[in-house]
Amino acid sequence: MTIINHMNENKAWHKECAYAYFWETAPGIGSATIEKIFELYGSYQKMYEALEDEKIYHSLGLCGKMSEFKQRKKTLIKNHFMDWNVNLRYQEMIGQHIFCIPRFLNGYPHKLQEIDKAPSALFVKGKLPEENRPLVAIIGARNCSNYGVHMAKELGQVLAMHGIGVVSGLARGIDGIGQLAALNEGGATFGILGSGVDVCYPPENIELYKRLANSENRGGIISEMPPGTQAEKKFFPMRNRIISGLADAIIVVEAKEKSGTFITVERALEQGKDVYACPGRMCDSLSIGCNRLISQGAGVIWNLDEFVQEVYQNHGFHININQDTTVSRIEDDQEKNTLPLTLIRQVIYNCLDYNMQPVDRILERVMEKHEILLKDLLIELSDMERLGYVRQENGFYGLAP
Amino acid sequence: MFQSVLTGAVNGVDGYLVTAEIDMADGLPCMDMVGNLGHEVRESSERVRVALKNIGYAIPPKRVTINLSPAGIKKGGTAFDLPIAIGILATMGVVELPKDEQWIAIGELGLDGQVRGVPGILPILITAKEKGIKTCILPSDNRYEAEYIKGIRIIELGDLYRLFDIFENWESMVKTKMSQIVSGTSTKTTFPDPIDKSQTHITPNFADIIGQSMAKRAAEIAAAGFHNLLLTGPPGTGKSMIAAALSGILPPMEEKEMLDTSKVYSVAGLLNEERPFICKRPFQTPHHTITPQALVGGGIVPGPGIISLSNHGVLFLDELPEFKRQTLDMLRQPMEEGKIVITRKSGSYVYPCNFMLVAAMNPCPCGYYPDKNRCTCSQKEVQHYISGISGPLKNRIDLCVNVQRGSYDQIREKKAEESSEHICERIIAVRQIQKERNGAGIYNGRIEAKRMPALCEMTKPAEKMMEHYYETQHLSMRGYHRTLRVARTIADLDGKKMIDDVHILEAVSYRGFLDK
Repeated sequence: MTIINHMNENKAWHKECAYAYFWETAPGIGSATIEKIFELYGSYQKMYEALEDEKIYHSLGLCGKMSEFKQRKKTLIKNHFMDWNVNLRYQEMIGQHIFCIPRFLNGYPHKLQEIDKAPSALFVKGKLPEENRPLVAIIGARNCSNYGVHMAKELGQVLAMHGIGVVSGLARGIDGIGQLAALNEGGATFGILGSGVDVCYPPENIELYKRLANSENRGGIISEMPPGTQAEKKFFPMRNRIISGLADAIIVVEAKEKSGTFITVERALEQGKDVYACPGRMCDSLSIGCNRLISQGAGVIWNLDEFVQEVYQNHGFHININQDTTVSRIEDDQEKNTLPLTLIRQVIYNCLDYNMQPVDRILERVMEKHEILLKDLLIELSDMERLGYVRQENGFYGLAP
Repeated sequence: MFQSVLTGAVNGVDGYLVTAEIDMADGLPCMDMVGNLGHEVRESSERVRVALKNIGYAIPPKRVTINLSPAGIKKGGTAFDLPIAIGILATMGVVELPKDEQWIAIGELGLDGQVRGVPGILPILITAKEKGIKTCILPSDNRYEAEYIKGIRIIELGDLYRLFDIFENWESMVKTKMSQIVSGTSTKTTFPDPIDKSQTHITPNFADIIGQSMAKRAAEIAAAGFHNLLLTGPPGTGKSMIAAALSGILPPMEEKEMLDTSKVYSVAGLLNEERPFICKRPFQTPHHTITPQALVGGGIVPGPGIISLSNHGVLFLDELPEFKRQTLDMLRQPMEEGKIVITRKSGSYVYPCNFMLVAAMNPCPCGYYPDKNRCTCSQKEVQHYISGISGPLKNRIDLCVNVQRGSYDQIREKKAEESSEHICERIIAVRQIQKERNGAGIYNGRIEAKRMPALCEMTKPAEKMMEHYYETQHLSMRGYHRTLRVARTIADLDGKKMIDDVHILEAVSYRGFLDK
């Protein structure tokens, strides 16, 4: 069921959500507390009304002789109760097209109910993933190599083509690339943020953020933080559990030996999700993490079609390619020259790699096959870069992803 | 009794003539000095009095007034001791000053009558010669500087008492040939050979640097067109060595350049017996803890800074991010104008600073970017580190290359590398082309924007290529011009009159992270 339906029909549901929003923004009250209190009262509204008398404070452990800390906590809650206009605030939020999906109401993803320390509520801008569609997480290093870029793109595309949604953290590098590729292929993709859903972090991915949040009705921005929360380091490990929680399988595209990606992998394993990794060369530092995961039992993605089949087999979904998912591909910006490369350029191309190399090394490799002066090599490389075959970064050259 | 003696002083790096007027009259015995004088000039009176007493000529108890004209300009230094002493001796009637020809005297006096050297002799002599002065009496210590000025007669003086000899034999001294030093050692009528072996500091030869073809090519382009160069790379890869070797492939200095730079060194008091004249391009490497004044010039007593001492040479800033932002920002205007103007209440001092900037830095905190296998920095850390160099300075750099560790094969193979001498030949040829096309002393790196359409003509394909890069790389106007100037030098090295697209393509490979 989509949010839009809720909007028109169930006023009671919205009322509950409004009160849930109050509790989500209450200072010092976390998921565990909300769960406990909800069990006592059975309704967010009733919980709110119980603030009038002192009884609820008893359940919160804020009664009798209190330490200064507890006293302060109680005061904060009281102030929040005074200041917070439940209806007005809720209308404001809805006005920004942000919805609050509390755990104990309809609409909360079933998959997240199962996980350890499930979020007490989700805030959504756009859509939530559909319950019966497979969802795969594409995660990896922020500072990835051209190979990582290439694979994240391919994976995003292929998954989207087969109607499999992509979920990730909208981060720099692998995350963002995978999501963008899926979106461009016409697929559904969801970004879980470590900030409020109205805060775009990282700023570089603003375009992706906008597309997911506003226009295209094929994805959404999700967070467990209330709107307005700024991104803070401590929120990111927490949001990773949501990424793995919503996904049916996790793909690690590139990761260094020590990487934040492993936090998400750990959560995924705790939640009993399948973990896959893209293998890489032993000498590439960005593939060490992935290769290690494989040695520890993660699935290997060595062929995209086989992988897609496996996802379907393991998660028992029907291959269901709707008309929606075959929407037009976004045109490539760089016009790859359709004319064949000249001989010397072919030689140069073959000496290049997804891994960036310094010019001197490329010169050595080319010289093994064909005489060339440095300045002529630079000329060819610059031209090939212009045409889209080559990528350059501060004197290092590599194949364009 | 009134006497006047011509002498000289320096403003910035230019000399000007000063007249020391001495008057002795009846009245309470004293010695008054006037003419907008600094402290050390006022002290002249004491030094002169004692020096004269010690050679046996005590000043009579009269009222002595000394004026240094033009009286409005602030004067400093100790060079007026000698002319004042001469003037006093003349008013005492002890010597008779020659009147037929113009002559000047400069020098500091010790209390024992010894004549000591002073800075700034070179610019003063140049001006004196222009004004028609035929002879100059100066300290022996400074005669080395004087050897390179043609057309003026030098009489060197070590002791005050020798003065009497000089004035008595003035006629015969004057008859000796011009530009010969009278108390006899060598005579130099031409500027010294620039590849003067006696003046070698250990400049590395490019033949000793293994591999690094891109950096060497960039160094060649930089030297040929006088472009500013930035070397990035991990520690220990030879950035400093390449920068030092660069000073060895710079073409020999022209006469005017030698004079210009020697004047600065003279004013700074750095010319001496070992180095009487600057005929080899300076190579200055200030430490990154240098103060802004030491770098740029100034100070309580204004003097030239390192940037002026690298005039027509190389200023090498190693570990660029370690320099204080404030210090680097002071380079902006001097680099733009080729001169630095230091303003004081007493006036402005202008020092030239036409240097070629070479800088070296790590590209990121760990040093290995963009080698993803070894770089442990996040993208943000790299960006932050690079943005630490002042933006305006980055804007004024023309070439940026990365220097990486060579492979062991390269070391093992011991391939023959091109020598500095060989590279220098190409550079000299290209400098000649620039001279003919741009005009004397204007290298490609210094072509003004308005002259660029005329001097940097492009073929149609080249124009299209530049347009493409302007759009896709979001080049600023400055970036556009700098790329074009580099392309101009590359075309010159290629022997082509018009800049073609291949030259643009190569020029663009040297942009590094300058446009990020």
